[in-house]
Amino acid sequence: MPYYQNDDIFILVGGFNLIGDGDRIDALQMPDATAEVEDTTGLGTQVPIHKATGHKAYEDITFDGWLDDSSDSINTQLEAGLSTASRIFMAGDAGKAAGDPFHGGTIKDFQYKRIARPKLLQRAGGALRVTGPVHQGVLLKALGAVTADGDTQSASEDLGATAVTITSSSVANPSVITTASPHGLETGDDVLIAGHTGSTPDINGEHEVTVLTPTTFSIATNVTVGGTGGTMRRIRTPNGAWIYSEISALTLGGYDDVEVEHWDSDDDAIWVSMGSKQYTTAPDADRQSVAGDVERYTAVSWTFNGAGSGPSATIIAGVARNPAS
Amino acid sequence: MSDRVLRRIAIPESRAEFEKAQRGERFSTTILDPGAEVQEWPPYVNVESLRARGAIETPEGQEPAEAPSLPDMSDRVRELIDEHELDPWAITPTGARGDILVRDVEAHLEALEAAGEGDDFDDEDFDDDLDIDEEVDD
Repeated sequence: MPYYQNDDIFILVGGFNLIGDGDRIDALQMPDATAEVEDTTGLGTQVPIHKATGHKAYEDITFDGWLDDSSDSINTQLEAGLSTASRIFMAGDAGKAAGDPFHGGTIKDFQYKRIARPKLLQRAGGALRVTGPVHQGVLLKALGAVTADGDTQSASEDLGATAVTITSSSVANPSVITTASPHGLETGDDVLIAGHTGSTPDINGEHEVTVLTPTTFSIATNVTVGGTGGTMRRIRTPNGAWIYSEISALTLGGYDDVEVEHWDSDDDAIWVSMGSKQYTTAPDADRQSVAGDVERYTAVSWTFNGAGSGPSATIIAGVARNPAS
Repeated sequence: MSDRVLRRIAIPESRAEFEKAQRGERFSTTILDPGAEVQEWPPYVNVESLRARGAIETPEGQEPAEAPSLPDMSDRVRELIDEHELDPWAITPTGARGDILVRDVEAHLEALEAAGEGDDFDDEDFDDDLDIDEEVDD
């Protein structure tokens, strides 16, 4: 089981940034820790998360370690009443920049026990009980403050960023496409094939796929002469998504709200809204279910609605595409 | 003729902004809110894609808004666009009748290469016997 440096870890619950003091966190064990990790420095917290696999329900997020009791720390925030209601969480163990993966879901029944209080550091342990499914997605915006309207559309997340090399197309109906490495597709995905040569008919273009094995899939084309080479990219998923956002701090400066909106695009230029949330207070969090196709590119925007001056919002956002059911 | 917006849409303000988007640069958008009526779409908007995604609809009893059509281009230009996986809407046509010429594709590829995108290419991609300064009809 790999361990992760504190720079790679984040957990937000209901907008509370539970690992605000990154220098106090040594490691996070995901996704299926079987034993808690004991910190050896006396200054860290170990946060094993159990069975964070796929979109299945998984067990508690537990922690045990030395926690900073200063403002904006995990100790203060957990004592602020996180146990009172179900709250949306976003967590990750492989980086916290745009493009890094995250897990999202709902937490309630927080348990927290303070064990020792040597000055500012608190020895404590507890658990956050995860309820319902856990979604796996990608961060569109890292947690950070924004002070003006903006978006990530010019730095969007590209589902098809990685091209997979095609080995061959078979003479069959439907034709079976073999890839040189695992294609990562699910049945129902749409792919763009390019640069494939020799096949009759030409199969370059968009196709819906049926997955056969990790390195083969079929397309609904009657190929009478097989081809070779070229690449395929995943360009669309068919089963909707969950869009997540959390806001840990907000100064409206007279504005009515800050609106966080998720977008998708098939060409990285024309964007269609997937849904939005207008925040008027912080901390807060939101997630929404989106049905239907989700296009290749996804992005998020933030807009301060109304009029005012000097606004600031600390937000994080991501999208989790639903896998094949 | 009009289309009605059903889901909020963000569209580059102009072709120049659209080309910025294609190059991955910051670009300015126009927001169309649900309920807005569109009489004519900019030529770089894939209207059928928006319709297929449920972002727009044509009100009952009306004709769809004017949908743009691709500029004319020769078979060789079409081959090059396919070969390099280019978006024809992102190519600025300079032909006398608004056609996309081979040299337009070449300029577009050079711009992509300068921006660190697209396939590497060289002059061998183009037919030696093809005068790229001449407009080529189908």
